[in-house]
Amino acid sequence: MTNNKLQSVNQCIRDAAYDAAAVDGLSMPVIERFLRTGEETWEGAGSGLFTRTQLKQDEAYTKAVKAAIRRLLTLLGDLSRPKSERFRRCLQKRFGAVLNPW
Amino acid sequence: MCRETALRELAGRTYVLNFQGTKAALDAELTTCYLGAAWQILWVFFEDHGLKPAEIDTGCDGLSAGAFAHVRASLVDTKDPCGDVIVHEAAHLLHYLKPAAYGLQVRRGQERFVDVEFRHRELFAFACEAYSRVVLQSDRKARVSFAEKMRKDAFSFPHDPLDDVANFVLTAARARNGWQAIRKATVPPSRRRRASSKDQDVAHVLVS
Repeated sequence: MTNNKLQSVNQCIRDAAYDAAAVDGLSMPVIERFLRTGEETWEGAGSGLFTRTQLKQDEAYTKAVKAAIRRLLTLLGDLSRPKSERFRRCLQKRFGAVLNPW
Repeated sequence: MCRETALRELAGRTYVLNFQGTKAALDAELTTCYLGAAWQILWVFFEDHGLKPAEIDTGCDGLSAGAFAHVRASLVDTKDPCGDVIVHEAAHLLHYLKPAAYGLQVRRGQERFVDVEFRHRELFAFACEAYSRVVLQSDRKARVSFAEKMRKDAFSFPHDPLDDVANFVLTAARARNGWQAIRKATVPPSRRRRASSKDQDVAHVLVS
């Protein structure tokens, strides 16, 4: 992967984490870490004996990382979408033509 | 009935990871509590498009994550004459799903659509994958000849189980009912004597 592309991918990961964290005022680095490693490192994740607060935290982070995954799919999808497809989408916006999905 | 249900479930639970497939797979996985599977699917898809940073390790090509199976789109058109990753993942699903959950009658001791000894689950999936290519050959002679060449021709199979898989597939190709041969070799010991035609019916789903 070229440096430019890697930078764009990293920016997408940060953007997705930022957007998801902002909703409930959660920690962006924790969500970003999940997007990069798949590890659930927040309070209340995994199994064990948890306090009510930890369970609430887990619920909030689970909801947030789900949103982050969906957001990242869209952001990276726009990066990888073939140029012709981007052109077709542009045409669709302008002229309202119905086009095949990617 | 068992066969129709298995076929319907396989079709509904197997996702090929192009963009639309990935979106649908994520929707399905995010309804479960296993976030790790959704994370893997996301990066398996973008690895195909050269957008996965090197430090992210998904560690898989296809993915049978419990109730759903996901297949990397780049592997669907494999050049390996003995490979079919969709059949491989479908075999895992048959070993995971339970007919009782669909209100179907089960035999005593039967739990899954295809009960396979747990330690043989990969062997079973690889054998189904390769045998599904064998049965595409026109006649018995061609099937046996195809199976004999598997050890040399198959390049997408992991090295370790290749010998075992090739032996299984050759035995299956020579047998009157190859699916039954594979089933007999991988069924849990307690059920070995009872492996019946119903199992073969479900196994046939893999080439439907």
